[in-house]
Amino acid sequence: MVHEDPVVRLDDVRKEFGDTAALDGVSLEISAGEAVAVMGPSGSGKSTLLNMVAGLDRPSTGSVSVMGENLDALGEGALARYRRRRVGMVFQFFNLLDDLPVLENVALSARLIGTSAKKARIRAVELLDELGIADRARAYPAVLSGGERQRVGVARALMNRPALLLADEPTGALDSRNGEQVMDLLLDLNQIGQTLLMVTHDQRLADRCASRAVELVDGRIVRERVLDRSGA
Amino acid sequence: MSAVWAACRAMVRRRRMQTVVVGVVVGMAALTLVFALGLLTAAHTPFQQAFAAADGAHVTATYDPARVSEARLRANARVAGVTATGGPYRTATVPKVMHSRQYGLPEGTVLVGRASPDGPVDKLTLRSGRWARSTGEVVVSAEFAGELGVGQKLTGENLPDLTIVGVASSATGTASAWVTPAQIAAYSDTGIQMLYRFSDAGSATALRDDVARVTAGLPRGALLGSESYLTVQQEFQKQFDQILPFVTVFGVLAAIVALIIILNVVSGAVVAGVRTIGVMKAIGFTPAQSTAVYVGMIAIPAAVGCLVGDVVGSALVALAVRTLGADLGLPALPAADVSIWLLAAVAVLVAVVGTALVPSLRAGRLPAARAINPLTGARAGRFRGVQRFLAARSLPSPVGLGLSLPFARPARTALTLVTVVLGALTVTLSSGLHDSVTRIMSALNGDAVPIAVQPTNLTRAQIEARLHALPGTGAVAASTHFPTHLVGLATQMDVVAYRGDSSVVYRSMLSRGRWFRSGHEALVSEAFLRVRHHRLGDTLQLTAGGRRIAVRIVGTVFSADSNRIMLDWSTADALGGDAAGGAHAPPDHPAPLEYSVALSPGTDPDAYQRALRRTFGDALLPVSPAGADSAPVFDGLFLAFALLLCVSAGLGVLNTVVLDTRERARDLGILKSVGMTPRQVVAMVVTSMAALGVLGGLVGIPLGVLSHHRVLTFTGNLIETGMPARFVTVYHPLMLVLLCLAGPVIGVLGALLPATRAGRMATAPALRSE
Repeated sequence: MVHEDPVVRLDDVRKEFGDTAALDGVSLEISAGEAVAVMGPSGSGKSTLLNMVAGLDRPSTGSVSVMGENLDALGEGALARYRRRRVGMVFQFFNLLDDLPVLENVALSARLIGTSAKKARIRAVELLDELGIADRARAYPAVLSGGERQRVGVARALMNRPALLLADEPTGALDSRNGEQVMDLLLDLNQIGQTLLMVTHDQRLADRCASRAVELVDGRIVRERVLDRSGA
Repeated sequence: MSAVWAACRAMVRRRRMQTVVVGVVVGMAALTLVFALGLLTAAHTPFQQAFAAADGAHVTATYDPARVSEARLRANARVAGVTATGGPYRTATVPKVMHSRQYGLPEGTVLVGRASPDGPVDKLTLRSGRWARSTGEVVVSAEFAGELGVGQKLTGENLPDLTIVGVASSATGTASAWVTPAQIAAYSDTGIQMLYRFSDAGSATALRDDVARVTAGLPRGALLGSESYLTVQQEFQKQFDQILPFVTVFGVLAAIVALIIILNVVSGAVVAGVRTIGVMKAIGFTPAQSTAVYVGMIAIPAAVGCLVGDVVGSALVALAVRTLGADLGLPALPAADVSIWLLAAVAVLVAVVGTALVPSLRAGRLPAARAINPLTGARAGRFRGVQRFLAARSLPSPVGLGLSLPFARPARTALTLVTVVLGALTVTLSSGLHDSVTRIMSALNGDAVPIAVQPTNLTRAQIEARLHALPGTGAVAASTHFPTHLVGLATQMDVVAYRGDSSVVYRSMLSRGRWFRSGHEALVSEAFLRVRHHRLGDTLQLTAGGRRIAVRIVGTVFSADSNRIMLDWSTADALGGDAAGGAHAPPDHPAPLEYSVALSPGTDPDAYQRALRRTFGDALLPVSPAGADSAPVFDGLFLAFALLLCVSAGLGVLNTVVLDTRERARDLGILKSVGMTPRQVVAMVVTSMAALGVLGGLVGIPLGVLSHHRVLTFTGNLIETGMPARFVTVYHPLMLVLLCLAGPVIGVLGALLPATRAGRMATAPALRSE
């Protein structure tokens, strides 16, 4: 699914927390099918940028639009509906609901858009199967390995077939073997057309999965480069 | 120690919501406890407290001014054993009714000429208005409250007009109205009142000896009469005995709710902070220091809340006791003493610290690495099968998830459930008691309008004809009291004879058996049967004026008067009672005739009263419905406790939701990140508590009905009236359906505020909160 217009557009976005500017005049466009890695040192504004695109936070000035929809104009309810339909999020620390088993964690996103419990579970099982963890469907997050938890997180993010997959340090809490598996997974997804915006410290992840890298320092984009995915 | 204190202060400041919730909840608990304990103390010894506070008169004596001078009385009072005297005050008796707009001062009202409400004995409490300063002004006793008020004018034939300028209470009821000493001279038939306090006044015998000492040497017949405080005390205690079971039950309920909320709040706050304890240990706090920080973090707002709760509770109990005393005609009762304050404060703070200590000690022993490692995974909730089942049902997601939430913290849920159960129980109990009291008050009046007519220019037949002719009159029954004895017993019985449609008018008074049908049948009070060990069907031998007649007990009526016998007018005739009207009254000044009128359905009682006044004019005498004084007391108590317990239960729910949403901040962030709207978050959280509310209601309502039954039965036994089934079976289906809403309403209202906060919670920071 390729769009003429950019999937993500940030226009001169500034975000202040008190006296500190986490983002300072960031402009960025991401086209459909692209895999963009946002890199930079701690406190450079990477996660803030991701939260802007996810509709979890609002810019102090400037605008953020996704799929032509200006997020600034949306209320809290509309932002929630936007997150359900348009984006899927993968977190560094997985953010799974500890009291629900894997299957229900994954199916939850579909239930929120009104999919019946039965259909949601069928889709969740399919995804878990594709990600190789169908046998862990009835397990609780606490008993899974880090890699397994992250794959559950990815499955949940993909549940509603989002136009944009956002990943915040997706390999940051994983050992190298589990990290490799998640990198493969993200690469595969991008290669079948999934637009991807990820925030990472991990140069290997960027080299392997991203088609473009954006480097942030002190809330400003200091460098952009096209990657040839040599690590893939 | 300074590090611990610094950490305590920092945590109290940082965790504002928790600090406020702990302070408010502990404050409410202290308030409830002080209120309940204060009322219980006041209800146990109301008269004694009021009497001591007002330096009440142990003996009120009235002397004949024609036989003894005031100077002699003063001199006689200077004998051993007299600790204080009041008076001499001139007294007078109102010879005829003094009318106001609707009510008035009845004939025989004792007026006392007194310059001031103060004095060494019997300090009067001014309820409203001011003291009488000039002739033409009168201060009436609080016993007339509701009937007479400041500003009203009292007029009587050939009597000086009086304007009411104040309403006052006397601990021993030394007068029904007070005027200036100059005013009293306008009346004939005066006396001299002396009020005494004695060093030995503990028994009737001691008081008799005391009176003998102060009257020693006085001319024969100088003492017209005297009344001891013991008689008045007995009357008041009887009234308070009716309230005691209700206050006790509500007080115990309030104390339980307060304790449960403390348990829930404090343990929840400490459990929620385990991670911080880990961090503190990681930077060098010892387990003991970590524990101290956590106990201190709870104890600081708890101590402040406790202090505020104690102060507000004391103010409320003072207000309640004052109202209670005023409604029952007592002067101002002293508020709860300091020991109640201290007891409530110590109990609450011990509960707080004790509750905080257990989880704090456990948390203090937790390995720091485990507490601070975000990858350890949150502690798994319990009853996961139930949670999974509910989350996977075809319910809308927020509803399914909301229903599963209470299972994650079963202990907290159980405590919350108990508070909701107690809230629903209280609402059920209060509503039932309100209905029961309404029915009892109505039954005491025979569900009819009580009327008294002075038959100066009217015969009984004329009065009854006019009553029957009035639009709205359904049935009319005449009644008369006359003194009778049971053969062989010295106690005079309170016998009432009825004529007319008594079986219709007084139908609701019947407790057991049936109404009398002939002159040889009688009804007695339940108290009569219990005290005198009789049964239905027994025969009583009544005697009056040298005549004797046997009557069979065919039924009982609801009354605490153990001397009450009710029979047919013909029996009164046979015993030489009143046949023509005005029993035992001088022919030139007949006693008022008493009637009760049952109104036709749809008749407006106020309009009927107006029609009565038009028909009978000045001959219509003021009559207060039976129980009119105590109904507002009961209703006020029920309402106060129901409100207090419901607010407490709501706070319990609020606290649970605050803890749940804070602990689950990350979960809520996740849910919002995958698309749950703020409204859905609110719906989910509110659903969780509404479900608890429904369950709490379903458990609380039957318990409330059962408590209602038990409390009424106990009260019936205490005041020896028994409790007829129709006063107990007050819960009808519609009422029960409405009561079913009590639990959910408590749950939803308690949850709404923190749920809304959870809905508005910023998502990004919540996702970072590991």
